Order: sequence, then C-alpha cells, then structure tokens
Amino acid sequence: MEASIPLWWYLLVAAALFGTGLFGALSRRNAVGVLMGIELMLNGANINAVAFWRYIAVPSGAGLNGMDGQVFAIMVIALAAAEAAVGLALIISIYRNRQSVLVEDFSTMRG
Amino acid sequence: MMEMLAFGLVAGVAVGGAIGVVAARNVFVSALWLVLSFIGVAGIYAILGADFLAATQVLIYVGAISVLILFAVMLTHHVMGDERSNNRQAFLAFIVSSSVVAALGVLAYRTDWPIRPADAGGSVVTAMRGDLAGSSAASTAAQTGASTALTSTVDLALNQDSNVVRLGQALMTEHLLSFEIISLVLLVALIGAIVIARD
Amino acid sequence: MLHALPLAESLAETTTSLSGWLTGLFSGTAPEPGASSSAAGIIVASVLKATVIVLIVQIGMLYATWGERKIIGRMQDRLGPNRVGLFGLAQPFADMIKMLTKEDITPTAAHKWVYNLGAILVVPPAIIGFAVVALDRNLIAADLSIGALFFFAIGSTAVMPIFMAGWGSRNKYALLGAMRAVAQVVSYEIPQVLSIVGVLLLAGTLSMNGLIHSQGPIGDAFPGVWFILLQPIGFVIFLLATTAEIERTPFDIPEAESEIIAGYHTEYAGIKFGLFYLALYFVTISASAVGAILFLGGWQPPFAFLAGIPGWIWMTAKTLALVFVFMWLRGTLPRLRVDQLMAFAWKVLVPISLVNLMVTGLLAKLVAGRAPLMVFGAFTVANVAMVALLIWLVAGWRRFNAARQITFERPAVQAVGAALRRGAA
Repeated sequence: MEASIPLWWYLLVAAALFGTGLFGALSRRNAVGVLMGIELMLNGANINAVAFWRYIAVPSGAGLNGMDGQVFAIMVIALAAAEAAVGLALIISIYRNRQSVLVEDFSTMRG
Repeated sequence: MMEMLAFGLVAGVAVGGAIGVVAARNVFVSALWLVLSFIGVAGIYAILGADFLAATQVLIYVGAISVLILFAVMLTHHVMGDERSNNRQAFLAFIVSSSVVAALGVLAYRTDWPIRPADAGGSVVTAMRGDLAGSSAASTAAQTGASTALTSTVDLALNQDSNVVRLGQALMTEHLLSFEIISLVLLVALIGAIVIARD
Repeated sequence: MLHALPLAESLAETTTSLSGWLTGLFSGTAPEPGASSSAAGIIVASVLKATVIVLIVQIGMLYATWGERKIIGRMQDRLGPNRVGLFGLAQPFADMIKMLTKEDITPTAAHKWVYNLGAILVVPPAIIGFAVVALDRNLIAADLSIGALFFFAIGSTAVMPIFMAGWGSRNKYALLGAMRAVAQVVSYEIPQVLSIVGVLLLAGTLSMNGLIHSQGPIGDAFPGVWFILLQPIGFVIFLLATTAEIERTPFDIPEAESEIIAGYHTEYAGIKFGLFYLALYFVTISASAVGAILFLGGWQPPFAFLAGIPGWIWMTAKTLALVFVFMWLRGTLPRLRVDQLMAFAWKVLVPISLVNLMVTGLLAKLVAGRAPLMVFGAFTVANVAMVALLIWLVAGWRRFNAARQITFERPAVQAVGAALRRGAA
C-alpha cells in the first residue's frame, strides 16, 4: 500500500489559496483585481469541500448517496460564474460613468 | 510517494499561480496567473477523484470566468500600461491574511478529523484501484469476445463512471431544490448583467 | 521496462479515472495486470503511447495541409501544390523548412513573456484533446469516464493563448482580432456543447468507448444506429458550431485578412506563426475525430458483417470524411460579417439546439426500452417535424422581413403597399 496524502495537506493548500485571495481582495486598487482575489477565495473553499467529501465519514442516513461535497462545489462554481458576470458588468458600468476602475475612486458615498 | 509528487506538482501550480495573481503589477498578467491557479485547482480535484468536477472547473473557470475577467480588463483598463497596483493597506492586509493562513493551517493539522473508516490511510489509492480494476476488466472483456461479452462490458462501462452517475443522481434527487434555485440565480444574473452593462 | 512492454500491450492498457491517469504518469498503479511492473515501465509506456499518438496526429496534420490546398485548388479550378515531390507530396516538408529557417522576430513593443508564451501555449490544448480520442478499441491514450466532457473542457482553454497573443503583441489589429476570436469561440461553445448533450443523453455515458459501444452494430442503448440518424439536427449544429469554434471559413472573422490583417497572429513570424497554423490543423483533426466518435460510430463498422475490417480504418475514414467537409465548406462559402456571426450563434443555433435537446430528452424518456426500430422511427418522425417547423419559421420570418422592408425603406413602394393593403381590407 502506498503512503497516501494526509487530509491536512489539502486543507493547507486550500488555506493558502484562501489567504492569498484575501490579501488580493484587501490590497488591490483595481476592482477587477479585487474580484480575482474573491475568485481565489472561492476556489480555496471549494478544495475544502471536495477534500472533506473524499476523506470524512458520511453519516449513513436515509437516501444520502454521499456526494454532498461535490454538489456543494458545483453550486459554488455556478455562483462564482454568476458573481463574476454581475460584478464585471458593474465594473464596466462604473468605468463608463467615472472613467476609472480603481476602488478608491468609488468612495463618493462616504460623504 | 509518486502520488505525493503529483499532489506537490498541482498544489505548487495552484498556490504559485495564486501568488502570481497578487504579485503581478499588471492586471492582465495577474489574470493569466489566475488561469494557472485555476488549472492547478482542477488538478487537485482530479487527484481527489472528483473527475467531473475537475473538468467542470476547467470548463467554467478557465473557459468562461477567466474570459469574462480578461474582457473586463481589456474594456476598462489602459490596456498597455503598468501602474501602482496595491493600495496603502497592503501591509496590514498581508498581516491579516498570513495570520488567517497560519490559523487555518494549525487548525487543519491539529484537528482530529473523523476520516472515513472503510479506506482510512489509503482512501484515494484504494478508490482508484477499484476504478482501475473495473477498467481493465472492461478492456479485457472487450478484447476477448466482442459479440459474446458485450452486455457485461456495457455494464462495466456504466460502473466505471459511477461517480458521475452518482453526482447526477444527487443533483436530481436530494439536491433538486438547490439545483433549481441555482439555475434561477444564473438566469437572474445573466439578465442582470446584460441590463447593467448595456445602459 | 521497455522490452517487457510491447507496443501493442502498452497501447492496450486503458485508464478510466482522471486521477488514475494523472497519478498513473508518476506511480506504478497499472491497470493491466501484466504491465504492472515498475514505475519506470509505466512512464516508458506513457511516453511511448503519447509519442505514437502525437506522431500519427503530426503526419495527419502535415498531409491535411497538403490535402486542403489540393482540394481547395481543385474547387477553384487550380492545380494546387504540384512542384515538390510526386503530386506535391513533399510540399508540407518544404513549408516546414521554410518556416523554421525564417527570421524569428519579436516586436520591440511586445510584452516578451506573454507574446512568446502565447505562441507556445497554442499547441497543448490542441494536442491534449487527442488523449481521449479512440482510434480503435484499445488505441486510446486514456478512456476517461468523463471523456467527452474532458475534450470540450480542454477545448475551452484554447481561448487563453489567443488572448495572450493578441494582448502580448501590443498591436491594435492583434487586440481586435483576439477580442473578436474570443467572443466568437465563447459564443459558439454553447451550441456546440448543447448539440452533443442529446447524444450523451441517449448513450447515458461520457466515456468515448462507451459512446462508440452504444451506436455500433453491437451495443447497448440503440443497437446498430449511428447517432447521426437519431440526432441529425444535433450533428448539423455540431458541425457549424465546430467550424466557428476552430475559426475556419466561413467563420474565420478573427483573422479576416481583408479587414484586420490577420487578427491575433498578425505580429508572429516564422515558426511562431507556424505553431498557430499547426494548432489550427490539430483542432480540425481532433474535432473531426470527436465528431466521428459522437455521431458516426467511431471505430465501429456500420454493419455487423463488415466487422472484418479493422476499427482504425473505419475511424480514419470517418475522420477524414469530416475533415473533407470542413475543407469543402471553406472552398464553398464566403465569410460572414461580425454582427451576422454573433446573431447566428445566439438567435439561431442556441434556440434550435435547446429545442432539439428538449425533444430528445422527452423522446428518450418515452421510447426507453422499446425495440430499436421503433426508437429509430420515433426519432425520424420527430426530426422531420422539427425541420419542417424550422423551415416554416424561417419562411415566415423572411416574409415578415420583406414586408417590413417595403413598408419602411422605400417610400414609393410603401405607398403602393399601403394602397394594396387598403384595397385588400
């Protein structure tokens, strides 16, 4: 039997992706860059979902066929697609009105 | 050992791509790093045995979301220029995010996860071995008697993609409601994006 | 070890899960009991298999360029290449030498990394797709359980190098060409995938060999019937969408040389341009091969009594037939306009493929488990009905359009039309 990969390796990679995405979302000036950071965070969360699907015991309940992790990941991917579409449409719309995509220029509501 | 090598490769691609995303000065280049990171994540799904999800990841993230992002970069950005890419809170953000990574890593390592007992220790490998055994049986059956053993080959072919079949069944039975809701969300997002981007 | 793994045996081994395929490249988890010797053996087998497939494809690609020039030449009443070698058969090699010896120019303004990587990365998505193409029952690199999805997922990554080439060149025409190309590829991907979902639904599997098994003379779901007979509308949509997807005439708007020079590869010279050319023919062949697998039964003979002829001959013949169709289209049809192109994808192909998919799903549910002849009959009736409906709709739309043109665009005719209508009323 080959030595297998421990679960926490996957979780560590997921945490690294999440953290990098968080840094990008917090530190980027460009709104598209912020969106990219958010996509990275979603990917990190998705790796966790799939890793848990593979490794963690499923309570043997009625009618469960144990694909929850993958179903969850698919839902997240679909939501990420929707989020990207709406987010980028917003960014393009703002760019048309204000000629800028830098988030610090969008602070007119601060008063 | 070899499996770990494969894992190291795809994990390196995923994390390296992510670091490239936040380190690149140009937004377009950073989007290209993002694509690399997505491909690495697809590789991680593949090693975890979620084949369908890996292909979906490539199809949706690389083929659609990255394209959207690159289009947005091209439509909004001064396409050719470099500029200062991080804001003033970058240092603070670095501290916050690295402490999040450290906390999550320690938690992941220290927690006593309830690993599935049936194939503890070698879950991926045993599951993979099962798949491969099915496949080799199918191919030998296909070789030996094309006309006689065909029904069994087809049965085996159906067993091979049981993971995909099970995922489809899960989406159409216990997760049907969320499936419908996600379809509705996608429709609303589609219409919303068109309306916002048009005027 | 190499001598322990004869070529035929190494070609015979198949892996079904992506995870097995990926880690199989590194590890000793061999699917074949006889071949499970060592990690080195597996690596050698994988490299061998990949080399064989790439060589077959490479030669096919070289002669596809020759064949295309000959065929288009004949269609345009020319001879085509006939100087180098017998019938010009050595022409591809002459072209290759020409491209390799040309000066390798990088524009000074270009973003060096993105520009060069764009040219290099154009080839891998075109080649990786061949991993799931079954040339014969066992001549397949990886019979993944998600084979068809894998092919289209890999195909969808082909837009990235286009973006990189267009942006990295720092040339307006290249950028315009890239944006046109990506918009086109992304739009046509939707009808392309929707058109094959009907086939996947009928076969109940995504594995390439599984798909072939369910349409051969021996099979599971609908024995003896190719899916082109059950899904003719799907096949036509697949053909059109694929032509656009691989940017061939009449959908070669991205490179429209009369409008934007040559699109995203304007700035590439020598072998880097050669790589774009190479990738174009690779995807033409791989798309034809997948079309042959999905709709024409792959390596299966059409009738059981022809089973004596080896599978790879059938597969090659079917693939070449589809490659010929692509060349035929190029020799016959003029290029579309950009707005026509997008309208055609979104207003024509997507609705038709959605209706086709719904009808297919409904029928597959209704005739499940019936005799093959009845299934075939039901699908024929449904397809004829759909085509009739389509013709009726198109005719009605054209009448409506013609009437509107008369009313709004020509004052004199408008007056006559109004008078006529008053007379009729």
